[in-house]
Amino acid sequence: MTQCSQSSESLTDYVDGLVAPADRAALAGHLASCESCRGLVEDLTRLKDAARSLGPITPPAHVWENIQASLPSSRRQARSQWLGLAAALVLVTAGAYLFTRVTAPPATSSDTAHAGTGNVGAPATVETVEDELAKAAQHYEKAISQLEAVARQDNNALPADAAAKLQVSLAQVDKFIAESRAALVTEPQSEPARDSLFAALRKKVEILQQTVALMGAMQRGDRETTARVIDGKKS
Amino acid sequence: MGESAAFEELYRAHSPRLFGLTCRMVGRSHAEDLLQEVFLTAHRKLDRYRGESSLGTWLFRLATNVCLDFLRSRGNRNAQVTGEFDETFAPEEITAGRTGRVLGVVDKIDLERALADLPPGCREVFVLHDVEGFEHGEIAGMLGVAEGTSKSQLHKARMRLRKSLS
Ligand SMILES: [Zn+2]
Repeated sequence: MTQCSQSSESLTDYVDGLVAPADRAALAGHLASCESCRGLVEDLTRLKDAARSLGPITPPAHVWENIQASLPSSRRQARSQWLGLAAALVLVTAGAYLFTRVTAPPATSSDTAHAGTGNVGAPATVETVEDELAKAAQHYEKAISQLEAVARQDNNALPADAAAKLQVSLAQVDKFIAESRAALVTEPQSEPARDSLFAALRKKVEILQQTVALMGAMQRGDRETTARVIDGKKS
Repeated sequence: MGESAAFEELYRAHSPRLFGLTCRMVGRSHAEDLLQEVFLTAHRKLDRYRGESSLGTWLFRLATNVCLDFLRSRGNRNAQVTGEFDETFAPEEITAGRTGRVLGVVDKIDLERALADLPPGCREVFVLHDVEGFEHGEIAGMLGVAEGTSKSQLHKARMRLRKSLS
């Protein structure tokens, strides 16, 4: 094979989609005529795809047993509320994950990697889409009911104006959820109907999370966070 | 939901991804201990978690830090300092780039094995970038290095893996 002066770093950038648009065409032109560079790009792409497909690894059962045995036995009662919330957020995350998997277009090898999304599985087949959608909806609903329970538990802790605002927001989002559901019953295959149902469920989760965050901030006497949440601003 | 059930649920949902991370970052033989450390630390700090990022992201950052601390402390003992990156390429690594296609279908088990043999530094960058999907800017922040270092280490890791898998 003849030597080629093209730097291999630039080919790594090419595989990652990091080559500037102006240089990309020239590089593509070089690849069309240089077998050695083309081979390297194919290898690097193959390697990158293989790395992306390395999935989670389930730890052996004794790891959890060791953790459980090492957890402190007595805890202040206040913590259980936060752990309940944490568990609810786990479910929200799981729901969002399923939702992404069902709707995300299959990534191509030349795509820039998505930051922090972890291993997104292969695109779902048509048969599994319905099933995964149903599961995702269940996750959202479970999360919502848990967040509602936490929010109800401490309802008196909310200032009157925030509580009123919350009631209005929840009533609106509930109405929207009902409408989306009705649309989905009429047209079960409609993607816009599915999208709006999930958007509505996500919105409700978001409202409830903000409420719980607000109550937590107030319990800690954290005025800055309290004011931020009431104003509906994200940090 | 009771506290222990909630925490177990948290573990069930997130431990596989975090165990994959720890296995690849520090090696299988230390991964269980570090995963345990991650969840015990999470349990201690959970009341400081305010819901500003997803719990998955929060736990992932925590796990990454636990792995990096471990590698740094071990590096100090074994003179394999993680933060110290070797920027140079051996001559055979450069010529390896000039031989056209050498890889067939990459077997996952072979890749895991080759990954474990990578020197620390470029291995962490490869895991965070190619396996976990972070961008160089984020990785540079996590490792406390320049973005260019993250890029060159990734390139080095890929070229080494290509060589050992060919
Ligand atoms: Zn070339």
